[in-house]
Amino acid sequence: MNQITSSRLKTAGYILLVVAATILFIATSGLLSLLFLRDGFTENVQAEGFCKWAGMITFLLAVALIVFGRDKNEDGSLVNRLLLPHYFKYVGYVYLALVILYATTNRYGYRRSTTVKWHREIMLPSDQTGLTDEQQKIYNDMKAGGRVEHSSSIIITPLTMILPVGLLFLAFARERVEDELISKYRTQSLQLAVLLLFFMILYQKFYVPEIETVILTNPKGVAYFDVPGKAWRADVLINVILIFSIVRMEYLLRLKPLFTKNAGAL
Amino acid sequence: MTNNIRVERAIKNITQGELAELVGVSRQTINTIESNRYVPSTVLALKIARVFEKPVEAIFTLEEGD
Repeated sequence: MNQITSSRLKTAGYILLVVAATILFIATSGLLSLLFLRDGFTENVQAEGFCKWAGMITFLLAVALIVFGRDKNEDGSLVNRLLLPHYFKYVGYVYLALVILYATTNRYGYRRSTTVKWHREIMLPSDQTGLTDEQQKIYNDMKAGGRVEHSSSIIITPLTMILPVGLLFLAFARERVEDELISKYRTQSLQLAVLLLFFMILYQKFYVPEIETVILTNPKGVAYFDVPGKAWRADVLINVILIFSIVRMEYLLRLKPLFTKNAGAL
Repeated sequence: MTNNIRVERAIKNITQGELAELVGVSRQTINTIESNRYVPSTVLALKIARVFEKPVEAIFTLEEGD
């Protein structure tokens, strides 16, 4: 593959990455429900499903093009080849602003119930909890008018699902002058982030329940169902390590020099 | 490893920022090298030496224990 073709592939990868981020945002932000409104629930779900697949495939294709393509001015090092152009920092900030705006204002915002409530409909992730046919039968029998003593929202929110895309842009975008010291800082930050992730997973395994029980009661009796507990999900964990990595880089590059001896030496 | 980049800069009358621009790195990198907090790669050391028109050994010196 010649140099020009390879460079174009890489540029195409960058464009596809932005396209993938946009598709994923549309799929999870609730924008599609504005198109289909109340009567088009099925179409909305179908469109969201399509968008999610399209977003994931586009994302994978973009990453492949970025990894295998090569810029004209690249020196061939692995670190440089995987980093995104500097303008992705601005894309990342815009993306984060939109995600946070949607996550805090739209009707798909994170909901959590820790008090006793009456629900007209109860949604349990039976595919995740592995209910047996018998349990499913009991559940179906009881859920109408049933009383839920504990429930956690299982709705996937834009904040947790697609926030990592914006953070990924920020963490992997080159600095204006990307040199070997910055590469070293970046590697250190990611290594520390992995250690933090390891500690979090360890803590979670020891102290955070992965399974919780939903208790349904009505005049017919009581039923118990296991549901996913409060354990941090993979998207939450990746958010934490990306945020840690970004904050450390910003500290080292922007804040620390202000307090360093000879920082302004001429 | 120690270096005398600060002295060479003074002789040549250039700032950290100007040297950084000449060798294609950030000013912060030059600052950390000057204060012996970071050892540059061979490529960067050669670039710096070229700016001062001196051999690398004249700019960077190995210390006991290196």
